[in-house]
Amino acid sequence: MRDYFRKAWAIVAKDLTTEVRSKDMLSSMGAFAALVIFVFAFAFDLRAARAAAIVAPGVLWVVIVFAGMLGLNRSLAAEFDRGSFDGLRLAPIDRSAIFVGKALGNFVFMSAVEAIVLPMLAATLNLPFLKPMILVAMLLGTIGFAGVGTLLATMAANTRLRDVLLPILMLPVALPAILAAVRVTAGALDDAPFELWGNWLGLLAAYDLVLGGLAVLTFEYILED
Amino acid sequence: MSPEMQNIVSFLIPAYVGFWLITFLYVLSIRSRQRNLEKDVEALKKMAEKKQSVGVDMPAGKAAQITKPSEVSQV
Amino acid sequence: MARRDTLSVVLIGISGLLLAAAVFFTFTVPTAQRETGGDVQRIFYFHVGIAWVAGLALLVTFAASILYLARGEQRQHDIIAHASVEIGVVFGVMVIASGMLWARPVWNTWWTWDPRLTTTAISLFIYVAYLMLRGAIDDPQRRARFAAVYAIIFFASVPITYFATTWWNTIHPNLAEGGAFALTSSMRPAMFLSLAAFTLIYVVLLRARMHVEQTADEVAVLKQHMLSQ
Repeated sequence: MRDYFRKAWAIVAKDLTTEVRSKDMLSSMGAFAALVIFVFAFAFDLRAARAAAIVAPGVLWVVIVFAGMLGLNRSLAAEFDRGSFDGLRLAPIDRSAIFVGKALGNFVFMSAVEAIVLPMLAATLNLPFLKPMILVAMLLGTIGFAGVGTLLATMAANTRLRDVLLPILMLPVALPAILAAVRVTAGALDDAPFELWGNWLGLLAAYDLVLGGLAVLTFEYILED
Repeated sequence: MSPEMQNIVSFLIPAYVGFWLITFLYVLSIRSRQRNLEKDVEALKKMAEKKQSVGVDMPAGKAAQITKPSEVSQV
Repeated sequence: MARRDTLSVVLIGISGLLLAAAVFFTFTVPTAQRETGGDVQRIFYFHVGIAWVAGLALLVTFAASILYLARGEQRQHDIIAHASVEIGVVFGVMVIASGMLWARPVWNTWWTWDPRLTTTAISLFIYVAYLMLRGAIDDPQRRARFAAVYAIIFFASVPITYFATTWWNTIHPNLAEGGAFALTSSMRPAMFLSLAAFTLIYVVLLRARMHVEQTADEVAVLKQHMLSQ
């Protein structure tokens, strides 16, 4: 068991080290996210306080989702280009450990971007985003997204269409998670009573469990050759 | 035309016709794909037979050419 | 001419008969009440049958995909999954179109965000994504494997999506939610015949579509044979 996690962690460490050295994924995700926030601010005229509060949770999650897909694509495309997929396949390591490692790495990257996006959005829109429940939503949402996203991005990287295919595969499957995350964020932001939106948290957790679990189980079929 | 009659004409009939049309087009698409593929099968089988009767490592034309005595000096 | 073995003829014959009977009953059954649309409500008999096929197609794809991965990657299972998704797309488009054509006269709106409709639309996107995934991979084995994995993932997301959209709707209660679609006993023959007819139509279409794939496989093998000589 310990060995399993050690191996998974090895992959995470590899991804993190690569990123720390080149910094290209984080910077592109971060720049993209910041720009998208501004696009939304102009597109929906988020200057008016009330308009901002209604639209803000959605804006947050759209930014996270799109920056996230950008990151997923880059992370998998890099593996593909470098030919390290073959290396991973040959390594004496349980396929699901590879998945856990990659997904964890992606989770860390997404969280790093979210750490930039959240305060930025809070400042730009003047809204109290830094609430515990919102952070919980972000945690659960990112777990689900990283899990399913790593699986689907690995598939997409191995097809002719590559990057372009990921949003097409991912978005319809991710919709319920996005909806749930937005609902929790909106409820927490408005300080609405927990009973009104607590069920969405449950849905998000269920999504993570079911789809995350399936992703772990089915990943080995994708690496086979 | 009464509003109900209007509804029937603008909605029920298009829905009904639409179902038949779409199903028909799909069946047609399946049929044409099937036909094209069967044509391919026939063509490939014929090509395989031709190759069998002439010899494996020589295309049909070349084989006929070389066996003509008048051609030999011009090679 | 396509291969016409006994089973195909029998299936086509029976489904034709059932469909004819369903049509007959659809148009002779008593007219529905005004609230559910009067005569336009007759769309419902076809709409439900079509929806049933779309759902059946999804189930079959899921089952076939699991079988494919679990039972030694047999091409037959992959063919079933692929054919079923294609049929699902065709019938999915029809169910949404027929639903819209019923909603417009009855509720004066083309689209509502009600859970069933929304989930169906999302499922349609997913079916299309599945076909695009298949289209983007050349290697047959990889294509089958990836498609099977995607099918399993998306099937799992559908119920969650359904629940999510149901809860979503309670926030913005839908004025267009019709009352109970009570079917009087006189309407039942049309409904049951419709369901039976459409189930058989699904089977007929599935077999036909599968046959196309099998012939394509034959072509591929013959070509391979030609090139290797």
